Amino acid sequence: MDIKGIKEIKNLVQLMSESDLTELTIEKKDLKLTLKREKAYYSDIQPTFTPKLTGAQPSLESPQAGDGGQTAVEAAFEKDHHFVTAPLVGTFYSASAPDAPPFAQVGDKVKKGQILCIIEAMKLMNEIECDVNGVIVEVCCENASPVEYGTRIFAIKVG
Amino acid sequence: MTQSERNPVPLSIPGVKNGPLGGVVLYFDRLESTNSWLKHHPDYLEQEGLVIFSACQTKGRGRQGRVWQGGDPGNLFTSIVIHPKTEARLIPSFSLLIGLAVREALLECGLKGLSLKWPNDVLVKDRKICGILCESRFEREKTPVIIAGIGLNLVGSTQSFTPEISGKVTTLQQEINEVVKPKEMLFSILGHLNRIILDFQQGVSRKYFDLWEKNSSSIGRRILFHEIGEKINGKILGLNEYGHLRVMTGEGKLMEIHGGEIEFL
Repeated sequence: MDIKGIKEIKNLVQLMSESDLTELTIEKKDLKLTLKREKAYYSDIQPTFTPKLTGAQPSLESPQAGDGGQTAVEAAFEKDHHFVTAPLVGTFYSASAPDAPPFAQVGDKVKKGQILCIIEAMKLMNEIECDVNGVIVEVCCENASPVEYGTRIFAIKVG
Repeated sequence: MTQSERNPVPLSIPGVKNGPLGGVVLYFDRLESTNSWLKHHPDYLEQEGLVIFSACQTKGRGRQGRVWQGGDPGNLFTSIVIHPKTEARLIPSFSLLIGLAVREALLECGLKGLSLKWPNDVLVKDRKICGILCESRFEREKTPVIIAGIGLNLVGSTQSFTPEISGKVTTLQQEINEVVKPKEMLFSILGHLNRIILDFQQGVSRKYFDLWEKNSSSIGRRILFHEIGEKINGKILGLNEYGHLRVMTGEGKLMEIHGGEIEFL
């Protein structure tokens, strides 16, 4: 499971804890995920109560809390992947033009030296090159969104 | 590929013997785009200050894949290889420097009503006369290189542009009723740019940001700009230490813009 998948589960858990749902099942072709909890929680009755993420139990392996709030799965993801980061402040563009195909997307095999995206700053269009060989597993930024120095743009499984 | 593309003719630049622009021009009769030619011939990017000049351009490009109109002979189409040699955060501000150099060269032709629209459009009475597209490639452990593409309307009238843009553009001939040859204009721009870059690399960025503020005729103007899909109006205050545009929004919030397009209101 990738970071995106973990984030999606977290979003679902959050959604459950903010609603009165007691069970939620999502089924995809290769995955079945059930979230359950004993009792519905109503925030207007107990306003000081902080919803606990552990109140809802994913039937998949539960991520363990690690350093800095990072889960074990996230930490493993960090270790196993290479991240292409923004070398300057600017705006991230996934393609050379609005109607052009993206330079790289999830699942693409990429090579060292290949252009992955453009970061525009003050009308200087900076082509960002890939610095490893591998497969794109996540595009971490939305097209046309601002990025800071060091912002992660792509996660790549090296190899 | 045409014959002229295979056999570029080196020319020396009068008055530019020392400095970051090196003094060599490769002349072409016809290219799709001077920027694209350099991108397809990356070995040339190692030649600091190399200049590509084409008598006409068939597929000029603007920001985000837009088409650059006015590729006819008589206009100026050029790309300059710049090795910025400054801290990374200042590299995008070379856009401002190129605008300043083009403005200086146009002033020498007696052109009045010049202004600069951040970051680097050169306008005459709010009509665009020159477009600048800078491109660079960031590679780890390599010095960034800027390809600075300049398209300058020297000849003809606004009638030669499509109706959608003819009210937003102008040409030097239309403004001063004289024809300036592209090569003369190129050498004039290179002379100014050579001096500006040489000075800028000595660590006097604020001097040039102040100069831009003074000469842009845009301080205090009201603008529209896009911020994450939202259109915001504001007033231009000036440039920050990296050349980003400082704007006071209509709601009294100070913002610093580093990308995208602005529109004058």
